[in-house]
Amino acid sequence: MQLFQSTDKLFRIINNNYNLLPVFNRFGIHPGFKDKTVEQVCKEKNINKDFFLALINTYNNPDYFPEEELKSFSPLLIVDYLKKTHAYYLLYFLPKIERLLSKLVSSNIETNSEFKMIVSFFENYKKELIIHIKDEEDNVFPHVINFVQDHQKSNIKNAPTSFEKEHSNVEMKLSDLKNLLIKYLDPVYDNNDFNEFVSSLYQFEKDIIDHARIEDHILVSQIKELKKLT
Amino acid sequence: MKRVIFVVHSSEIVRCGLTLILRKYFNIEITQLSSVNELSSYTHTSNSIIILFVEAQPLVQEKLFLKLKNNNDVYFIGIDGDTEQEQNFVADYRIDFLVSGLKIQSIVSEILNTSNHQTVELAESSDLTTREKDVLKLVALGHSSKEIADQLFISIHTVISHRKNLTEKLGIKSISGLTVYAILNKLIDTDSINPEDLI
Repeated sequence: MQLFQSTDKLFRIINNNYNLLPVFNRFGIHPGFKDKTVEQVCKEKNINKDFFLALINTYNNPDYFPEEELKSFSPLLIVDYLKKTHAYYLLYFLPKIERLLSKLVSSNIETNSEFKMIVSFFENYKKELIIHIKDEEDNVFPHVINFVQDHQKSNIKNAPTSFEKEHSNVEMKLSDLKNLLIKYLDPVYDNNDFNEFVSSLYQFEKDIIDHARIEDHILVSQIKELKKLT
Repeated sequence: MKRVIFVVHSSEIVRCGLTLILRKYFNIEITQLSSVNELSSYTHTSNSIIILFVEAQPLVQEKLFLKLKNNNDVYFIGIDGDTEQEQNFVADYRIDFLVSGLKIQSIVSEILNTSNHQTVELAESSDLTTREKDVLKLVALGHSSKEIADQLFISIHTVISHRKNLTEKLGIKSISGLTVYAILNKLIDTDSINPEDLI
């Protein structure tokens, strides 16, 4: 697997893996790249080049995870990236999946109770995911930011040092949903609507696994380090 | 199992040359690294057959190799140069700069063949036994393993083992996912209860 470098052109990177477009957006990088390289655009937009490269390479290759390097970046950078990812899920991806699901439901030849089960399963999954995201936004990120920026030590002590349980629950249910759809549901729907829905689930899963990996291995150990300073 | 090859050598000529030869014979992902330290970014790899072509030098990174070995099938192929240190290098195979492409091909094929034999394919079948179905029904209705054990007059360990088996067979792990499965397959009677309350 190739590793992207600072001399690589942005359009080549996207040609290589278009799933990186939303990751680019999280850094405020938008298409119309012309022939700009990573180095040029990072300088222009005042982005930490090494951080950007580490994240796109990690995202691009599930086996690549430069743990030590990622830990060396400021927790503020990590939190900022994670927050943008959350916003992407809440404002774009979950509503999109919901839209595709309701399109699929309305394409059903007959209203069947079985399909209702899938819908309720997804509704519950979504609720749990939103609670988990809100919990991090309210009870984890602010403590990290306050500590690093203003040296407020009081609250970091209460920040959790593991999200693995919640994450594996989120990943498990998403994988269950896919299996139920692909293995066990009778095909009483429009095929194209079904395919669109399922591919959005796969894409979401990929993003969320990468996101959880950064929280579980990088943010958590940074919080542990911050706690030691109190 | 996924298969990956790493070519780790300080000389770019060696790395690129070896990669070129390997590409001729195998359609396997090849990653080139200039030093073993860079392997630390790949220690999250799991469940793979990893073939490491490494410049023969004492294993300064033993821990790292061990980490890879924990979750993967790892094979070392030492590349001998002209140094004296290489005698201490422990490898599954050794090659030097005069090696032929054919020899490289036969080493890699051999590794892939042996590791194929070791891969045990899990029996994929979603046919549940009657007992597993009994357990599944009760799980879907929201009972704990202890309650299920009492109702079916079996030990809690047996219940846990049934639960593990049916999860593996179905590919569904969460309780609410199992409930949906049970309803889709009409294992529980949805006339008497509102199925949406169960999930």
